[in-house]
Amino acid sequence: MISDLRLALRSLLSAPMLHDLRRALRSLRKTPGFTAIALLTLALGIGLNTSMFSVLNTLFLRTLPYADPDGLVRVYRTGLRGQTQLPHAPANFADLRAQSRSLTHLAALTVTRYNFAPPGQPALLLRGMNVTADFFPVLGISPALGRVFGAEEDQPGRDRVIVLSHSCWLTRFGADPAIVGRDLRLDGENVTVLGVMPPRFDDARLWGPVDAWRPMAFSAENLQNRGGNFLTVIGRRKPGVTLNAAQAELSAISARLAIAYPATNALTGINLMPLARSGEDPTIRTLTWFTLGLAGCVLLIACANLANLQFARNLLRARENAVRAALGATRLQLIRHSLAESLVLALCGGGLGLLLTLWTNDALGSRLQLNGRASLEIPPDFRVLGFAFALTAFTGLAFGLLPAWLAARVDVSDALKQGTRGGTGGRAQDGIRRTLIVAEFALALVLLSGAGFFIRGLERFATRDLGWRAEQALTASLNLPARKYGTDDAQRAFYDRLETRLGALPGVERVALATSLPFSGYTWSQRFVVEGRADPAPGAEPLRAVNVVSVGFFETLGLGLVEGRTFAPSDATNSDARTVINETMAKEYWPGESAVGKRIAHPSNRAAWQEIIGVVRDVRFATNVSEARPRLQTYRMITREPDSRVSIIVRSALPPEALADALRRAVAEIDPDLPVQDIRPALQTIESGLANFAALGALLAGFALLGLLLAALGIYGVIAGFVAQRTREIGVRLALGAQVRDVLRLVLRQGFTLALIGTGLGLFGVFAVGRLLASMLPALPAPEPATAASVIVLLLATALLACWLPARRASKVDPMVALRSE
Amino acid sequence: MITLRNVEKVYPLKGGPFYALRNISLTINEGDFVSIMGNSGSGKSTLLHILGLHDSAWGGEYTLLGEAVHKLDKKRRFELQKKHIGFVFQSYHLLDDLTVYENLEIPLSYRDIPKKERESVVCDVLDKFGIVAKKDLYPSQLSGGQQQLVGVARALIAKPSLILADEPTGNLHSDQGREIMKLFKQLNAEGTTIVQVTHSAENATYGTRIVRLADGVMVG
Repeated sequence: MISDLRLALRSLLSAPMLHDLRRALRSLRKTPGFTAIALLTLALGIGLNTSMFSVLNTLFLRTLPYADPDGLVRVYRTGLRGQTQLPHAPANFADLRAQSRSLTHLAALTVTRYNFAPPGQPALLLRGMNVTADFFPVLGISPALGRVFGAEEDQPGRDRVIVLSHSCWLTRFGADPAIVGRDLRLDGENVTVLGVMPPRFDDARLWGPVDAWRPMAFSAENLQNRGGNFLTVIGRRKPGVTLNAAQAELSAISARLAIAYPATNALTGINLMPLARSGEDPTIRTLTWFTLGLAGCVLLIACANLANLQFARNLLRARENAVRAALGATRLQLIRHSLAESLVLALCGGGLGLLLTLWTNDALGSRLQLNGRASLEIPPDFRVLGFAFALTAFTGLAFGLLPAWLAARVDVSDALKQGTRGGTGGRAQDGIRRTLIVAEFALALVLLSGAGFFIRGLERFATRDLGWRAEQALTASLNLPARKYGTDDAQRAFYDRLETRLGALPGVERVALATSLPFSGYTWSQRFVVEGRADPAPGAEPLRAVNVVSVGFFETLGLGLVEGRTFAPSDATNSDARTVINETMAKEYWPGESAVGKRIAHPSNRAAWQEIIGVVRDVRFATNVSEARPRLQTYRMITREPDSRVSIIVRSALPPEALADALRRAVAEIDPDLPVQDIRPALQTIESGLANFAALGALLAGFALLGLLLAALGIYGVIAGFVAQRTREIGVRLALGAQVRDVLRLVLRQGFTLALIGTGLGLFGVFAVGRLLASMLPALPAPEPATAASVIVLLLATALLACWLPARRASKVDPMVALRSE
Repeated sequence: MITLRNVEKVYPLKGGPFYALRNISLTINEGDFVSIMGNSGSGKSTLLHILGLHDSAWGGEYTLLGEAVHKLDKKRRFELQKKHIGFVFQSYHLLDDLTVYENLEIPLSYRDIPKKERESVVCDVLDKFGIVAKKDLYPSQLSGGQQQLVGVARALIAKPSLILADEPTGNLHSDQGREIMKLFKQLNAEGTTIVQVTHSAENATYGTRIVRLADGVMVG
């Protein structure tokens, strides 16, 4: 068969093949019903797969829009506890930059927001990045207008400059060509626009949408800081230097720093990664591959269906093939002739599929989010076109080759004798057709269970007990500019006024402030040691998430108290710091005893013990699908540790969205230059955080329904063919006294047995897909047997219905007509 | 041209072997016009398909134009068939999707004859059989007689030295049947060897010799 295939493929390129393609087109025109069903099936199968590949390509395969993107690297810090993607402290960054010889440039950056006050308009927030002067040379992109800042501007006092993104220039400044040199009011000071970056620099994959870049301008104090790790570091390898060589060099520098500064750098290292891979979310990547795999199941079911249709056509064409063989056609020529039809169908189906892809990409893109951007542009490129073409070729061969090969094995003398049905290899083909139906049902079950597990898991995840109440809560964020709120007292005073003002709003029941909201996770982690316990090795101390909150946080959030008490206003002035911890931490560190009264501290500041005054319920993060179990969570008072970035939580008896304007006005009354960002009901934030998963769930539901429909059509086609082939036999049975129910049973048994075998085999896939989902999304509740049972019942019921229709037709066979027709 | 010696075709059945043909020994010379006759199930078509090299599962010796067919592999048999044998079928078996012209062109395309040459040969045959006007019609647009005329033309187009015809007039009116038989007679006169299977005693009279079969055995 292999040599046959090789020769068949060679002959595909020959001129007679073109002749065959023309004939195939003519033949397809003569059977519009078959052609329409086949094209629709192919367009859906190829289109959906290409669309899923487009998403994968957009998120993970497309090259970054920077100069020589292969040379770009992300430099991570590693930690003792297995962390491989940690940020850097400014002093360590400066040392790496000064000592590295394998990188041409090394740049540091932080993602931030700028308060922008356009003259005569309300203040608004710009999404920004503070970057070192090396940032632009690292990426190798020149500005479209003006210039970028250099080392001379990357210094305190000289850093009142800004570079705008193309989209910001378009949307905020109307693409004003005279923008360069203009002063903008940013965070309460004037900054000069130096340049505008080109549109391709707007790629949101690595850092989300960015409106502007400003110099990092490390202070002398900052450059001594080795304990505060907050910098993202990127670099460019020198030509000819491999990733491994650069890794080795930076690791050696890191090892020297660990010896020189053991208190902060012990047991840390360097992890170098290609920049393109560094922005990837492994959960999303695995989920995208998972979805592509399920889309592949749809395509395979479609191929099995089309192969079955081709087998049915072969039966009708057996005599034609016999005549062709009698006239001198070789087996290869017969294969080529049959295959031509499959290839024409696949090419047309592939073309339609590509059109479908453009539409589904738009529909899908509008429901997906990327790094805070509300929609995802999924452009088709040469990689997508190549995938579509390869898929088309695969599909054409997948459903066409076996039927073509079997059709060419015609027994001429049998087929040409008068009175014979002209069937060729009837038993073998029947066996293959049945096997294909079994495979279709196995694949359909995998598809249905995959979709069912994901959708049901997501539903249970979204409705689980969070430990706090998101209903009736409105949240928002503020960024207090350092120039105006540079001291702790200034920030405290602002908090007081804000809480008082918001608490007085009509309908507001409670108000709280916090540095993190319990949606995707608390953003700040710290190491800790427990008083009276043996110290872990330096760097190996456990990590706890820290949220700095106001007194009313727990009541406003509805976070239940388990033991002790929460903060009181008097705790702010107490000489000892107080902390509240979660249940998980209490059980892990003080099992069987009370945690209240115990003390913890940061390993580098053991003089500042924090006393545990209470234990609250675990907070489960509403949109974090990766965290299976709650981590250690601690709370500290915001009045003791004010922060410039603060979130507001307002609980009200009114619909939360009705309070948005009042909240904005209240903030403006305190400080008209301070923009309020992300004002949304908490439920809306959760819905938005789960939007990608919801879109994926809807997509998988679509795949599952399509797979189910195709499997039903497949079994219907085979059983209808079975009835047509055995009409005479059924007529004879009826003539001999068989009852309608006997005929129904005969036909239903044929189909249902195949569906049962397929479903039985598919159970292995159900198990595998359940395990896969559990490993990909550990926070999702485990797949339920009830879901598996439901999809099995659905699948078998559909099979029964699909078989019922031809069975009913068979039971209505008139014995006289059936016998005469033969 | 053809020599058969003790040719047998056996179907192994559960109740014992069934002989479709038994001890067939037969010689057909170049230029013969042989009619094989017999009742239904006598083995006529089976013998014709063995002669036409469609069937390879038989016993005995078969020599065609000096080649010992029983010793040839499948590929060589196929080459021999392509080179020397043309078929005419009772149900014409024209390909429904192809025009008259394309039906005639098919055997030539399977013999890798260049397109220019194919055009010239097909035009010659269309002219010779008087069906030039029908060249763009599909089989469904032709009468039974016209279809069989195209079937005969198609069998001849690759210039075979042997024509095998299975009930060539079985589906035709008697007038149309007679026209086809006259055509066979003329082709035979021009040197083509013809073997036909027929139930019709009248059609057999066009031939030079009759071979009678009964229950798989030659009876005359």
